[in-house]
Amino acid sequence: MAINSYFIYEEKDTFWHRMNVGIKILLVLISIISIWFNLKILLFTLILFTFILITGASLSRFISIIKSMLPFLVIIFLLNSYFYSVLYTDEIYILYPYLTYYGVYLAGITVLRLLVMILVLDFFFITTSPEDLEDFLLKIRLPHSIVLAITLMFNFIPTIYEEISRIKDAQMMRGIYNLSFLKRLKLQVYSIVLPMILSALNRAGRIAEALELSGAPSAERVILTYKGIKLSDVLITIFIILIIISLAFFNYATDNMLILLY
Amino acid sequence: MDDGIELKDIEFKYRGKGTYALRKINLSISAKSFYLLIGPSGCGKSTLLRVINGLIPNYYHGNFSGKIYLFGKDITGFSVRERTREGISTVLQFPEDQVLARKVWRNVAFGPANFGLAREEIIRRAKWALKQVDMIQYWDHDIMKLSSGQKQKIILASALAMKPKLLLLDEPTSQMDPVSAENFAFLLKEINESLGVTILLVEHRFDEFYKIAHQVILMNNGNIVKIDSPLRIFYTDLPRKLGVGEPKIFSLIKVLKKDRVFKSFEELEKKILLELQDIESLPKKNLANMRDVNKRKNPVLSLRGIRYKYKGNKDYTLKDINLDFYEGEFVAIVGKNGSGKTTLAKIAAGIIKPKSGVVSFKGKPLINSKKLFGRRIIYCPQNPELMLFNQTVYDEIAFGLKNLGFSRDIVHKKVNKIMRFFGLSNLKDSYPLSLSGGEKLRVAIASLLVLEPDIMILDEPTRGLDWSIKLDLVRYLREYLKTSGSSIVLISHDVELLVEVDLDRVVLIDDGKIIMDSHKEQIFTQPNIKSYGIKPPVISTLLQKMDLENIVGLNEFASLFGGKKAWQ
Repeated sequence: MAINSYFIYEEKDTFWHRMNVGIKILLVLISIISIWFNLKILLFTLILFTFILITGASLSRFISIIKSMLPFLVIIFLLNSYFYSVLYTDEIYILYPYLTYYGVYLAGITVLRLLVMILVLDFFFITTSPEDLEDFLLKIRLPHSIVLAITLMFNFIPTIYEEISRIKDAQMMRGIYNLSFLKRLKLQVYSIVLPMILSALNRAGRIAEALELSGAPSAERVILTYKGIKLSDVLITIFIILIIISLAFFNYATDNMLILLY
Repeated sequence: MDDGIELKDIEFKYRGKGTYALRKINLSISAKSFYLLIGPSGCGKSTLLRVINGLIPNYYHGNFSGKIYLFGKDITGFSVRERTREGISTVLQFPEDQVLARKVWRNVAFGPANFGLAREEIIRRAKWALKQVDMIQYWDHDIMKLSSGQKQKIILASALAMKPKLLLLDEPTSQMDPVSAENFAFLLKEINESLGVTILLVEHRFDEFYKIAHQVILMNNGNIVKIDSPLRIFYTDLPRKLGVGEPKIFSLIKVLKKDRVFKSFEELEKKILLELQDIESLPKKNLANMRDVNKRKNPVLSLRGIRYKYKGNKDYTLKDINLDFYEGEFVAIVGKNGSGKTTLAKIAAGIIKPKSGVVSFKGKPLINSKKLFGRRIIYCPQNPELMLFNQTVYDEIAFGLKNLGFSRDIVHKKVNKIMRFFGLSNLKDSYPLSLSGGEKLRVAIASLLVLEPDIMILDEPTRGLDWSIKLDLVRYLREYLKTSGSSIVLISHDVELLVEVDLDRVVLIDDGKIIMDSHKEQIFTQPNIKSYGIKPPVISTLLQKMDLENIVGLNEFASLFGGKKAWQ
């Protein structure tokens, strides 16, 4: 999956798409906070959001996220394994003096946390349309100017990706691929980022013009469709929270039991 | 007729600019009329629209003076919002910039929802507006998945949902294929006639609009040069001299040297036909004697059995494409929006890999295509001026050569040569982004052509440009071909431009398949050409009645009358 498919809304009619946006935000927050508690909760959220992404989007999307993230995750895993091993030197070594079992374990957890965070955020953005987000934010009485800034950002992500790819195509033609890797990287960043910023600024000006002509932002803005909180939304959230609390309690209880046994 | 909008002594200078963008403009536009506003790029057309819709002086600041009346009411001090409430709506050039919500109906409802109307009223208006533009069937669609023409129709519906009395449009058809632009023109006519909405339209495409407009306003250097009926204004040489071009039919009558103004377009067309009948020895082009475009050997670039499907799409964008490009050729690829032209160009250039099939460069399969970029194959994307980022025109053009490792002397020689060729020598030290639209485009294309590729593919480089800039560009390209031996592939919608270029052949694509690969005369005179999103050239449409349909370009037509290229 190309990087430009991340966090882009996928139009479908699933339970997760119909869910109230506020409840989804709550679920995202709980999940992101809880993955720092213990490994059991981390594994639970990983399984949960794997399930949600498969049912809310597709199995192929889930697999392609993992596939495209893999090189990035491997690098993070290797770097973290080394740094944690250097940090905790009084542990058992796998490869002396670079890697300890504990360092590898901690690096694994870091990578899992990162993966879960990506899955959680991806779940939110692929199942929440900018329109649903707009109506929710207006419902909680956020000023229209702020709501517009948030929703337009999501609306224009695909357009900006397209523009970047157009600039990239043009610059690629100017012999950049004949340079050494580092020089190429430097020139690519410079020759793509600079025009991209200029083009984004131009576009921002044109969008602001279009907004002004449409009477936005407006204190009189009408909410067009608001997906209210349904009983099923509440039940599923309570169910997830209960599992997380149970796992936290179970972990606490087993830890204490181990202390008592010792 | 009553005054719809009246401008009195309008002057405006943008903050930080030395010269006035508008100078003492006095203009009165009758209610329920259709005005076409024309003039060269940068003459103040868009600025004039901004003055009317209130973006000037509320959004764009500077020195403003003068008075504006809308249906007799002084609206000079009104904000943009107040003017919208009074009945002024605007459609801008790029539909993508006005997509403020992804769903079609939400986008149409976006404006009314900002004015505190009841939800039911907003929905009612959105439905009504979508019906007016015949897009109600797309109510719940994702607007980004529609074609440019459809998107602009949705933007028009969004403007109509505000129930305007005055509709301002700033080059709304610049991103459309010819048939979509023609449909859009009919739609505007309908809106003007049946809803009584006053229309002020800025356009570069005249062939679609000259019959619809009641009056034409010609601007230059911030002044209104002339206001008259289309028949009168285009009969003068003024638009052409200012580089904005003119509808082809007027160029035709000028070739025939008829020096009187006609009362109607019908009379004008009739007169042309009568004149032609008097000329007995008009040679008919014999297509049978033309060189067969496909019987050549050793292509530079060859595509065999190419199929391509975008991720998430059900259908293939390209379906079994077989196509060759030869040395020294100037080829055009035409087809409607979404027919697969850009995908084909990217595959030919090696930017994307086909799902099946082989692309070969000089007989060898294109495997590591990236190494060929800049040396052998160049793809120039839409809006190439987006890639400009260097401090001077010289550095911009030299950028690619330096990357390819040429010595300083060679870089200097090559850059100077191409700058002379593209008429950029006097702009050598200028900042590329401060140049005019046409100059920026020339810098961008020169910075690619300086690499002397074997084949260059240009993806709609002339979108939304003045006629003279477009002609200049193709003239430069043609001249370049003569001296370089490279091949150029030009993707374009602009049939009226293509028929004036000395093309070796034209490839017509539709629905991911090659429909025809032949001479432009054969392609553009196909009876069903409109079904492929291509509008037949004005000249051939007219000459069909004379059994001279194989003459498609005015240049060629003019040559029958002593070789005077009146269109230039």
